[in-house]
Amino acid sequence: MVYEATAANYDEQLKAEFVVVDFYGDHCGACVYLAPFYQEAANDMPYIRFVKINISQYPEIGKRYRIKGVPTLKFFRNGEEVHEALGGRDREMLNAELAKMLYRE
Amino acid sequence: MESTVKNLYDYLSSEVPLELRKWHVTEEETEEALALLGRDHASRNQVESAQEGDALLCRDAGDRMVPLYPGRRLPGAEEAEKSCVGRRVGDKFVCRLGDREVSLRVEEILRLEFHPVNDELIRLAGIPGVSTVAEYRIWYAGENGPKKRERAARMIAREFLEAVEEKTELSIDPEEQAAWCGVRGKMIYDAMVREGCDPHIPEEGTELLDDEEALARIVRQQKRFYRRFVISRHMARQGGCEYTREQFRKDVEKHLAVYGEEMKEMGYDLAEVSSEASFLMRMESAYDNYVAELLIKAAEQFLED
Repeated sequence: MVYEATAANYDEQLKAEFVVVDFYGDHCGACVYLAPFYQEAANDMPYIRFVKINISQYPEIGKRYRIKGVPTLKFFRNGEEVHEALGGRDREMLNAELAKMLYRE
Repeated sequence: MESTVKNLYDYLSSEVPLELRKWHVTEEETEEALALLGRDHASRNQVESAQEGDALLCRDAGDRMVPLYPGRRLPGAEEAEKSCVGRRVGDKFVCRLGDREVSLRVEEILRLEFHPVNDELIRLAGIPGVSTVAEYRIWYAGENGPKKRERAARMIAREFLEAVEEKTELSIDPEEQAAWCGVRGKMIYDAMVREGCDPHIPEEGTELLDDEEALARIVRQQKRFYRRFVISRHMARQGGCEYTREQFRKDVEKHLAVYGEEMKEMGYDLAEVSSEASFLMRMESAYDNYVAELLIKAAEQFLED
């Protein structure tokens, strides 16, 4: 499943070994494009926590990470950001980004 | 002097393909949605031996977690994914991951089992007032029909717009075109420099463009957007829509009231909000929005009953 975070519970959501966060916004076509692939990956890949947060609704979270465009995907290992990807992606492209988080040395 | 439309193409005489007129939710789409629901409510069960489609939790020599997903072909993990098929919990094996050799121990294997499509699944979905598969089908059509209808109208409107842009005859005023492309091009050039995208990189060859050449190239690229602007302006004015300086002043006031503080904090130059380039952008946007609404309304008469 994909966890929909709020500003209040956002930091709690990062408490897992592997976390990916989809920073998305209102009226964003690329975010809509990404969403079903993101959901599919979340259903298919246990051991990774898939989170999403609407930064139109919670701009303070967007500012914290200096998000310049949506969707932005950030990848965390043990709470530390290890990778970032900007823009809509299909499942294959999303898998490629996930691999960068999972299999870095 | 302004460029003008000599002969606006009559988009209502366009031939609209049958597939664009369709918008009703199909049986196939409903079945796909039910299957997806089954996936969303899948259970993950521990199994003894791995096959494609499973998920393995392995540990490396440093006791770090290494998840593997056989069959998903994650880049760099293809060999590791093949190696773990058939492995059992507790097995140790060596494989390549990326450009290195790793020694892994299988700690856990999970298999996804989709929830069967039945009334229990629908109740799990938690849709208010929907508790059976039959009710879900009706609900799904009700939820998605209007969205599909709107999308179909937009697709037809896009066809109309492409035809109008291609077939409308214009009388171009070179001075207005040059001024319009110049202001727009400079705005894009400045934005590229500000965001760290180098406009000096040439399309061909390796010799960097100087500032003048880089700006000139971007200005030239605006010509194709100028044509659309002239047509949109004409169609909007025909409908009584004119974007004035007064409207611009009000829009700028509203924008600064909502975003002014935030923009200051992020280091933006607030004077840009009331610049000539900004006026041009807002005018273009106002006319584009008018034309889009006009064409979508016209498109609705072409949709299937």
